Amino acid sequence: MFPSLFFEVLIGGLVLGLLYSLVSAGLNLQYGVTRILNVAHGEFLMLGAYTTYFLFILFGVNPLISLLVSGLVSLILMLALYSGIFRIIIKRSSSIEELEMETLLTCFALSFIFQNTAVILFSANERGYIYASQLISIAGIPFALNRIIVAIASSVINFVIYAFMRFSRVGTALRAMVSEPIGAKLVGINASRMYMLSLLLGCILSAWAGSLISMMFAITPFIGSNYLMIALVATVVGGLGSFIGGIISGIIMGYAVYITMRVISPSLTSLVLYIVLILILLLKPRGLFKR
Amino acid sequence: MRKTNKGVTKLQVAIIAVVIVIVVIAGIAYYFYHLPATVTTPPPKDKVVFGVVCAQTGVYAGLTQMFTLPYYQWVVEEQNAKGGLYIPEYGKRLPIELKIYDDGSDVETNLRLTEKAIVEDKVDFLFAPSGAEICFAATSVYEKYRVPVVLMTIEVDDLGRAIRKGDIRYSFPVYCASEWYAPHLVNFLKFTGSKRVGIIYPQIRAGIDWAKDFYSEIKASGVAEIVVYEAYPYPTEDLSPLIRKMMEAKVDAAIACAEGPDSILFVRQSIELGFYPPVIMSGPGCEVPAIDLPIFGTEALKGFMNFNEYQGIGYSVFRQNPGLWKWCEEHKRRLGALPFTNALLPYLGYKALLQAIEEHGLNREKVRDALASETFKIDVYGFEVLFRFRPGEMGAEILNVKTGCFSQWQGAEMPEIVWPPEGASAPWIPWRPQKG
Repeated sequence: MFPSLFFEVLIGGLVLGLLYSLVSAGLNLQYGVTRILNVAHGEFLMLGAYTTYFLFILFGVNPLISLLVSGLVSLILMLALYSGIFRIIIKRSSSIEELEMETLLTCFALSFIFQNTAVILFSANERGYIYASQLISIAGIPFALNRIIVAIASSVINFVIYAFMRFSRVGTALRAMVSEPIGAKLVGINASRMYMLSLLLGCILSAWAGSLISMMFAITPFIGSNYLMIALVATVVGGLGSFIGGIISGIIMGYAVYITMRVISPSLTSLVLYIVLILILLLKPRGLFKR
Repeated sequence: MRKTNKGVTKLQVAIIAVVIVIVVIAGIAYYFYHLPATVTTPPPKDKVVFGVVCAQTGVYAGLTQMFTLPYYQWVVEEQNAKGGLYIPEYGKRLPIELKIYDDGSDVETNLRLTEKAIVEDKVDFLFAPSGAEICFAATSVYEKYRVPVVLMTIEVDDLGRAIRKGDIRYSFPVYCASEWYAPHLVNFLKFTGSKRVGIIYPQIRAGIDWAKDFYSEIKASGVAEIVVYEAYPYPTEDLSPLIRKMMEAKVDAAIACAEGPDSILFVRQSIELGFYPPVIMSGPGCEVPAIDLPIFGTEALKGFMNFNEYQGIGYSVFRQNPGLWKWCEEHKRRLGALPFTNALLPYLGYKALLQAIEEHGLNREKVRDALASETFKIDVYGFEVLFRFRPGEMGAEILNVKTGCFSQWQGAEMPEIVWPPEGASAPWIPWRPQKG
């Protein structure tokens, strides 16, 4: 009993955590670089989920291949939003506080617009499809294959983005913008380009998370709101702007949720999650990985 | 000659005053009592306006799109095709117009807009909003302004209690709440020989109501042992820990008092994890052909049950009745899929409201009384259905069609009704692994 429960929690929590980390990574990157708390982040997730859903249903496109399309669709949308809205607000804001406030309100409005446009376009019905639902056994514990695929895909995406951030020149510039924005500008980093890049990367990550989620769950135009909350908590726990912090806090949250549901009591899941949040804020006010 | 005192004593003055006051009051009362009824001509009217304050946006927009607004539009279109609603005061038919407001899935907004619709916009009648919480809150406004309303998406125990106590008189929910189903569940478990029951539920009002009523009824009956009884946060991304708990506890009857998305998640993860207890059932969401068939298909769902079927009609019963089947086909034409098994009930409820208005005019009080007491003969594409609201109780009744409360997917494009036996359209089959 105990070893099987241990392996189940170990793998089940990791699968959930990797998904959470993918959802939160994009939000964290966007906020870290631009100070834009994109509360419409979940709507890019929703867009990715619908793109994958329709590609699968209408053309039989493999959900993993559809990641390319969902990423492209959200990139185009964010490009339009950046050019038409965010660039203007960033340009005219005289302080970080003003930028944060104005973009926060704008993102709320965008979230509302996207949700309701999706209701009109796709209807509010739950939609879904069955993909890789067969069971596979890991350490004697059965798991649905689609969950394992999602976990592996999330790990690969997170690793690639981490490597990009850590080892590429652009990634270094992005990190510089997070930790020392004024200094970064002084050494010649093009801030506008970095803002745009972080917003684009963030929304692509969100759309990919949505595409992966559509393999496992029914989707609705409101699915993004559920994940936004998780992303926000993971971002705060990991440290605002800390990419690696976002990934690790996502995994911690996945374990917290799974262990509470499986071992303690499912009704306490939200409570445990927010107690973890409060404890971390008390002990490390800037998050686990923010220096 | 003796001089007499002609003066009036104070007592006499008081008596005279009292008599005068009494006479005056009696006179006024008599006048008003026997005041001839003033013959007033109703103000000119060229249409009957129904207000629909419901969610066009927000979380309940889906309910509006699928379950409320299309039905309002359906009955209104049918009525207008007949030339409109006959209004006795005017002696003619008037077209019905729907005046639609968006409450944004917000209770406060709904209450404000409902008052606006009644007081400022002076709508004649109202159709109900979407979502149990909003419907429940709106019932207070209907009481305040005495507007009879037929409600669909509300299955709240508290409403049933308020209706029984007579506190709510103007709200006519077509469905029943969980307390009504609980005794049926016990009998069903007895029938299937289930001994180990698992109940999971989301931490929202509907889920808690369902689970609490099921739990206490099963416990009190002693028919089975409840080996898993767990709540989960709503919304949720993963029910596998709970399903695994039920697998470990070897439950032979799994009940998820779930709602919409988590109902679907429960079906999906049960299949994925190979969880096949003989009895498995869920709440709203897993019985809707429009949602479930595109995701799962008919085969994978075979054996899965739904307990949210107050006065549900099984696929075979619909199929065998030309009028009812024609109605199903019209449903498919309008909404893109066959109906869920108890979808006829709200349709009949709205039809009954229109019929009551045709009979009693725009007098809301009389319309209310008619809804509360009359049995309506409603033509459903050539088949006459006898329909009434249960007097002093929650829920309506179809009197001349076989109906039941638990449905089950059995490979057709709509579920069958399997319980109670007198309402069953097909015998119950155990849940079993899908082929392949």
